[in-house]
Amino acid sequence: MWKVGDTPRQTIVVRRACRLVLKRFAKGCWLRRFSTISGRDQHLDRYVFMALLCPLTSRCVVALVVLSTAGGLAAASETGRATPPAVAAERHEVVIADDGCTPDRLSVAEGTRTFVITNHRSTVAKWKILRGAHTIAGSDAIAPGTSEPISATLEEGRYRILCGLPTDPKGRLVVTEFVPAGTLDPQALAPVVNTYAAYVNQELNGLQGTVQALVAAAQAGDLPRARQLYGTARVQEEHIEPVVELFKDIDRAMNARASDFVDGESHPDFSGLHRIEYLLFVRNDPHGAAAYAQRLLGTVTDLRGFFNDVGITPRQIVDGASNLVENAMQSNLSGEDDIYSHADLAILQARVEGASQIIDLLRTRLAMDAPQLLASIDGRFSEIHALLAPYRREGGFAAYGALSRQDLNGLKGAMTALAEDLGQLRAVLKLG
Amino acid sequence: MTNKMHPPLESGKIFATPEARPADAARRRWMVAGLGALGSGLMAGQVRAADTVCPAAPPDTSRQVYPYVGEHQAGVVTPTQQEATFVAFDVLARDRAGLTRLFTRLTEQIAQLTRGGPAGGPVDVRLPPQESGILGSSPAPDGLTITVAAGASLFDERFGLASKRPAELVPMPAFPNDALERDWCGGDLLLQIRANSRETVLHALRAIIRQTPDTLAARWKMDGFLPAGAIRQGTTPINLFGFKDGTGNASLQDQELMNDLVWTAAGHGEPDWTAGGTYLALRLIRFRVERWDRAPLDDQQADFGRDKASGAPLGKKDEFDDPDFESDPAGRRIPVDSHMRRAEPRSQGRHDAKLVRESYSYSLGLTKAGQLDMGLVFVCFQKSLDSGFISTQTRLNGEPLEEYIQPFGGGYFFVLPGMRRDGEMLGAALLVP
Repeated sequence: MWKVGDTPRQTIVVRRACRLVLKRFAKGCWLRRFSTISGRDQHLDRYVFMALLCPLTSRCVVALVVLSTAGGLAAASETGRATPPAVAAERHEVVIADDGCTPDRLSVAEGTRTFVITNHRSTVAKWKILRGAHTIAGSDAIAPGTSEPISATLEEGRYRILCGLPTDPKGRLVVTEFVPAGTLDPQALAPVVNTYAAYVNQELNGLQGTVQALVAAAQAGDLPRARQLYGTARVQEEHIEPVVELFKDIDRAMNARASDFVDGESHPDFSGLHRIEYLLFVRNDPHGAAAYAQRLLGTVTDLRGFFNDVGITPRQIVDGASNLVENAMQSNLSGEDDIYSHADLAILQARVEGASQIIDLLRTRLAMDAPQLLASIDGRFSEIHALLAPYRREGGFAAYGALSRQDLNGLKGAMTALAEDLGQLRAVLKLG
Repeated sequence: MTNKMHPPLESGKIFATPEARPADAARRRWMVAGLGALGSGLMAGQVRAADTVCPAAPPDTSRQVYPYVGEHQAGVVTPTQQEATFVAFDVLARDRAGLTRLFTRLTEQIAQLTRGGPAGGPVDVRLPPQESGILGSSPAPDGLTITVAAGASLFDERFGLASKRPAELVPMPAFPNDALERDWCGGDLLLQIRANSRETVLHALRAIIRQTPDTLAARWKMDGFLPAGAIRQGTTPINLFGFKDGTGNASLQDQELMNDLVWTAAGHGEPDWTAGGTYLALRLIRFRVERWDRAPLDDQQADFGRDKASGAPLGKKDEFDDPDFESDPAGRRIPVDSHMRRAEPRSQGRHDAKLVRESYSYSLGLTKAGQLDMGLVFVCFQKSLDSGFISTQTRLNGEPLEEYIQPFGGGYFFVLPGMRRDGEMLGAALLVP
């Protein structure tokens, strides 16, 4: 059930988030900050926030509230307009005997399902589908030697089965997500998800190391080294922007720009990478940057934790490629993203690399399903690569100001066309 | 089709004559009728084919007058005009007397411009002309309304009005997804100028600026427009995301509802002078339209919670169908984080959102990145900012639509009570002891 990619993106995100919260509560540790997990999950955020406000003694109660809400929230967050068929196509036979239920482990698809329960015991037996303490469906009195059909409309998730008497060992029921016709079974992309997760972890490792080194360099007052490390950190972070953007608070903490605030650089919430950039490249103040770098280290650690708890879905990965290119067009082509270090060309390149990485993961499938689209995408990447080539410098890129009007337009054209191509991916890959 | 009330395409009947605009209940039916006309082009085409090749010309609305006198200023519950401009000003007057002079001048201009007709006075060719002349020698009223609202800064120490500040009027704070630009925010006064045509709006604006050189300095200005067809036919305007915007709005003609949602009443912690006014929240919201156009339809519809073509709540047929959230508590049909559901969750019945929206689209030039700079001048009126805009926006914070929108300016303002009779100065209750 917790396998990455077996549910629509929001469902799994929320479920995992709930689990994450419970896990951290169970450990008895305070969450320093719980990120809003993408736009679709404000309600969860509210519950978590309530939980954080509550004193220790009530934590368990609150955790239960979160737990009992989790199912609803998870369902609530699904975007699915494809609904499971209303009529059951299948019947599931279950026999209650003295030594238990056969089968005691069931797996059915979402929707209305019928279970035919036969009681082979000499006494009245019960059979109920339970979610937590709540009875979803079932019967209290199946007479000895009789059968009773039980219908239940089931949503994707894990359930327990009361089998015989409340004291008997509980059975398990797994309800799998309904996959509408014409939609790819999300499992088919599980290897892609695993490979991408490995890539993200590799970049996160790198980023963590870079920020650690940045803290040290800044504390030592080594301005050139700190500036260089800043550039490296930015590239590593942009490679995995699709993951950063899953967590809005993390994204804000890492990437807020002065232009996000009406009072610009003086706003106290202006922190993260661009605050460090400002201090290193405008104020020439590595010592001032050290404190922000230290804080950034904490944010990166949080991001690792959240990512490994929550994971990512195929759809989020595919959308991530589009978002990388859109963001590069929106803020790097204008030179607005790294306005103090003028590193927008390097960041643009990093984002394109991040998108290219995702296309590489999907390459086998795209070569099968949409070879022409893949060829077009590859062509765009080559075009962008060629346009950026004259701006490559030892260890990086020329400052944004060096970009000619003609090349700017060329990049804009190639990237816009690339974004159009990437917009086809979700349909081509049949990602619901 | 549900438009039994109106045969929508009988020539000459489809266009509501604004002077004879039906009461709002009827207007709602008009909207439904219009939906039929727009929403199922095929059927419309068939009817048209059987009807006539040339549709009737739109009626001339240039003589339309919305009286400026009344308990409330015009331009709030006035039927929505097609064109608008929103201009925020810093007040240059230095004291109460200067401010009173400004308001007197504004009152004269509002009276003159909304009535229409020549500016009057002898023509002396040795002098600059009295007015711009862009509407000819005798400007038509053209459905013009000019609505004046005060920002929190008007109630600072300059004019001795601090004790009269409306209780909830503060500078607009930044919400989490905002990237506010100082040059697009706030202002001592906001003028909302609306009319049936763009040139009438501009004419009024130029006249007012001309008449207030020493008392007003423009701070920012945003032009807004709505689709002509929607205004003419009384259908819900489509915004620049391609979605109908304003479907759930309360009826502007329902006075009781407007008293409940919009108009400030005496008491409730508000200074007495505010009775008959209303809070105006204005947000300048950039739409990332190029990016939006590349987003899957599925995402677009899930973000709004509506079908793009029909405007119907997802899973329903008609724009005005009840979204029936109760049958969909888990959000499987209409995601719980869709714009519609967050903005108007209907958990307490119909109007959880205690406000009336009167937004306009805008189109400027290009962003710094060379992309189209288009979006929405979001405008809403409400009796209380806290229970109106702020609570709605708080529900919207974090909505998936945020990926495609960037609020960058605007402000909170208080629409002054109306001029109750001809000759009464705008803001008399505020300024006259």
